[in-house]
Amino acid sequence: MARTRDALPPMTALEDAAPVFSLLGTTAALLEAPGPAMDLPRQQRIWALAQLARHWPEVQEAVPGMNNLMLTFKQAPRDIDSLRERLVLAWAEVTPLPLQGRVIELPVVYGGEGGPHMADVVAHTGLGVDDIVALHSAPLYPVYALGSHPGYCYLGGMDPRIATPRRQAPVLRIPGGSVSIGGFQTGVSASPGPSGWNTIGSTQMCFFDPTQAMPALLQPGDSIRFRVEKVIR
Amino acid sequence: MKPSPSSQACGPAFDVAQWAGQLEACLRGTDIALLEVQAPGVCLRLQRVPDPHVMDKAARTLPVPLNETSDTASVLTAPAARAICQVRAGSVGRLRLVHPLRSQALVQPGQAVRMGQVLALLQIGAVLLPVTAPCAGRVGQWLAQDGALVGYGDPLLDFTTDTDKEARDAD
Amino acid sequence: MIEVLRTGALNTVQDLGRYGCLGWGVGTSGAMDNLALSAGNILLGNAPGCAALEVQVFPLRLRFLADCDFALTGADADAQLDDLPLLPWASHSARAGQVLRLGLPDVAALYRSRAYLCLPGGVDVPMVLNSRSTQLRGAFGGLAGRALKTGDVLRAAQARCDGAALALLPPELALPLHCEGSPAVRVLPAAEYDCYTAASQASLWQSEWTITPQSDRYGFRLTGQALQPKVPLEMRSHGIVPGVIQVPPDGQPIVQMRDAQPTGGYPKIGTVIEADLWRLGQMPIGSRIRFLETGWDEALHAQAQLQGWLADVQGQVQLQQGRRGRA
Repeated sequence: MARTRDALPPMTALEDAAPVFSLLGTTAALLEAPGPAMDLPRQQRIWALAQLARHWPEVQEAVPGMNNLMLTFKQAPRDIDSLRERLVLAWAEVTPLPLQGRVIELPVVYGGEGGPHMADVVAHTGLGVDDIVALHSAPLYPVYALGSHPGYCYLGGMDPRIATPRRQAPVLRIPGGSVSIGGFQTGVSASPGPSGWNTIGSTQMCFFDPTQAMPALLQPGDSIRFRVEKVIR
Repeated sequence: MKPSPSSQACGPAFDVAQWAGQLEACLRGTDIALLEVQAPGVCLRLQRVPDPHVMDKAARTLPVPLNETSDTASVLTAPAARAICQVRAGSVGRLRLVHPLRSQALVQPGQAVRMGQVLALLQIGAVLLPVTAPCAGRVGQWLAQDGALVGYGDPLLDFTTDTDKEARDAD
Repeated sequence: MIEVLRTGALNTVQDLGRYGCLGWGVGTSGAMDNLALSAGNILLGNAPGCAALEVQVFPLRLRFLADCDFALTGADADAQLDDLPLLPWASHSARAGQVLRLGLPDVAALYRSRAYLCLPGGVDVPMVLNSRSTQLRGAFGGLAGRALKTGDVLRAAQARCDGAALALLPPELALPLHCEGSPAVRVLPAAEYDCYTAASQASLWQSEWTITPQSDRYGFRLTGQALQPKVPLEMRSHGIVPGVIQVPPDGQPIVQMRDAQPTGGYPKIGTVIEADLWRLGQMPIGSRIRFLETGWDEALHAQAQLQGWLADVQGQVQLQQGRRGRA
């Protein structure tokens, strides 16, 4: 009767573990790709699956998450089993999308008033400010997904050496443009709001404009590079 | 709420109070003590009621001071008249004298009400049609029971219209 | 046209929500009680999804600057037009200059905490990304992307003052849902349901959950028996929808509501079904609620019942309005 985690037997053509299908009420379904955290090849498969599933008649929106995909329904389908089978089959068969989006460069002022938690990252990692800035600004960060708030990007590819756990008590309001580290992830807030992450710098960029036909600056498949504009110690 | 067809004591283009007032003015100089008019959805009755106050005034020789809204002629010469009409159901439905979310009846017998005031509700499924006062007046006796299933045109309530110009102007 | 004479914080313009924008990080927003909003619109002859004012902080005082029909549904908030008490769940007419007062909701009469004020044609604010709902985090949509303030003027999309008046029986009379005397909502188990101990699963269904004061349009924080996973759970960020019951480390569940973020990282034990979100969205702070385990088919049936109730109301209202036209 109740449907929770329905893992199907692994597909023979696939070296991946089986995806896990579950329900979010009657509003949406979730497909999770199990495996090591935040794998880019799996995410490319998720993007391809989203591109396919968004055209299905019962689907309102196909929303990539971090190695998972949510399908919201226009109208909850009577035969949910059939949708589940179709989705799991498509996961196995779809061709992952290449990473060929735009690269956006963001100038960042590290530390100072815009980076109030740099000291906490220093304390946790044992690294100096300059090393942290160098490690943070070196990689090209693929945009895995958007979520959290309008225009916010979930990024992959942060160097694990600067990983710092989420804060015990979230800050009630960090400004838009805050560059932060939460666990093994990094991200930039697009508007003022609460955050449990460690804010190490700030950038000026409009990530979201509701008056535009494409209101979000970035899409899954694009990439971000942080350029060091200034380091305030 | 303004008057609605569910009260059916007057349709949207028919002003009972004005018509009653005009009839009353016509009857003043006559011996007619009772006039009853029946039309689809309407029953209007005008009955002459002796008014001792006015007869006193008529007997005085001094002029009666006028207030802003009184009609000299009606104060000095004519006894006041009240028109009794029946409020009828404008639809099939179940009569509700108390709103389902309230504990007190919408109106009490004898209560003075203004035009458009909700007197009762007719329930049809999830919809509640207001039965409203066709004009300013006074609630009389209920002619159907709370919870009764009523038909289109069924008499629901005796209602005394206020044909007095002063009372109408005060609405 | 209506002028706001007095308002508390967090009264916003909402419609049925903003869909198709989750992929940009934009949550759906929309009325906490989509049923009351739709019913109010139907009473005025509007399309059910027209924008309305959601009132969740009382008292509220508004002055009509022009003759105008309006409808009030949702909470029974002791509404008065000048000194005339208004019947709840009904359409009314106001003349220019009249003042509408909403007082504190009478939860004894009707167990509801949010009222909806509908205007002819809907509240006239710009459409942003296909909706007139207020997106508070993004500061767009609704009335300039924010809550109502004293001095604001709200316009109706249509100038209409017919004087036609109708009232409705609120839906809970036709569609009651209780469990052992407490208001209840139906829940479909979610992905991490089986990760919780048997005792926690039993707690979810058998105990009462209290809606704490830290509850709002973003989410309802509940208090009760702490829910324990068999092993600590670390989740990756994933899409969520209103109704998702998250369990943070302290074990006290949070039900995501209409202004929920589009993504979350906490484990999910269940989801309140869409068809019961209006019930939950109306429950006052301090309410004790029960969760009822349900299945897919039952949840679809509940949705069909809601749609049936709305269609029924729509049909009867149109019939009455049609008869007036001919009278």
